[in-house]
Amino acid sequence: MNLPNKEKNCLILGGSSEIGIFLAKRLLKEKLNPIITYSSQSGLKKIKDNLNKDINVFKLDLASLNSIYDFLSKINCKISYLVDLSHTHVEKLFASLKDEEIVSYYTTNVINRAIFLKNIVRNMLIQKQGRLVYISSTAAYLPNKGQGIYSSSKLAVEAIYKIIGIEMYKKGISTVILRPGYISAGRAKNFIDKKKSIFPYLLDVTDVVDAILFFLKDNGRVFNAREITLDRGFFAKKDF
Amino acid sequence: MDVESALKDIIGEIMDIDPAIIHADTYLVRDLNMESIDLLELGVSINYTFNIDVDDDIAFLKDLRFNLEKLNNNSNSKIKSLLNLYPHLDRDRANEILEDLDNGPVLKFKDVVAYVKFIKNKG
Repeated sequence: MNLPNKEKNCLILGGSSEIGIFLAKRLLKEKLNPIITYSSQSGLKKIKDNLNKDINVFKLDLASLNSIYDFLSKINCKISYLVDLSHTHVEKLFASLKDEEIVSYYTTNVINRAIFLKNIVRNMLIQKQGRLVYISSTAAYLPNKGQGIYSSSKLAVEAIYKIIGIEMYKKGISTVILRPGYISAGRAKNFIDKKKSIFPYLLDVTDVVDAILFFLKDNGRVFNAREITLDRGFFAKKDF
Repeated sequence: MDVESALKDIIGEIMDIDPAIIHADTYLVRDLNMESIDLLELGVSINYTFNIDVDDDIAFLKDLRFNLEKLNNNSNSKIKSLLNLYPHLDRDRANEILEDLDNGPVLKFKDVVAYVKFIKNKG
């Protein structure tokens, strides 16, 4: 695998997810150094149970600016890659959301993430190299009922990644946004298991991780500041 | 660490030019064609090299024209305000900047040197 950056540190935001853990294993095989963040004790336990104990693990709770600053002060190394899997989930009709839920959701997932990303990009700028992969969702452009706050924040974050790629490409930093469709993992698994029509188009964790690794590589870098949908064409049909 | 030489090296690397061509009165935008993205990189590199927090707006006189527009036409009060907004500049330099405004972006290498020295001394 031809990964271009000299520094080997790959930060996985939200690394305790199924995809995050599998990605970390694959990065280790590629002789990269995954740095995994978690936001809860259960997340930490999942990482410890599934990965080598020597792996770099840091607490990072995007809900808290203090946690972000604490993380940035502790992470005393150059980051060449970032894979962003982190996003909290709320599924409620938009008009039923409490005011404080709206404030807290956008603060965590959009505002604080923007502050975090600004700092990571500055870290990458010192090395004049960096590749950021944001795992968004097809819900960003085709939301279902109840996904208003989720999809709107995903779109906002996509715009942040896009502008980073547009502004920073000249300095060796590029971004790509991946929008997986239905994945047989995580929060969607129960829903998907009941929808047989989706089965041929389902992605599994390996598909998503393979795509992430492709877009981290040299030949994936022609895709900059762009959204790519990973759905085997499911959402491209008229009758999905 | 010699601030001038370190800054020349940084700018030389960012712009891929020989640091020796940079002198105190070199205009960073007019002479070296630095763009906003290059100034961002300069700010980050200063932060990293000198371990100081850099306020890009002040260090690179970014809002200078906007700030001046808000003031009345009295040149004494303009200089006073400039020195308040950009405390790393001295009176002579503030005068020079006001006279130079019509010629294009006024930021010079010596302004960045003054900024770094000012912040270092303050810290």
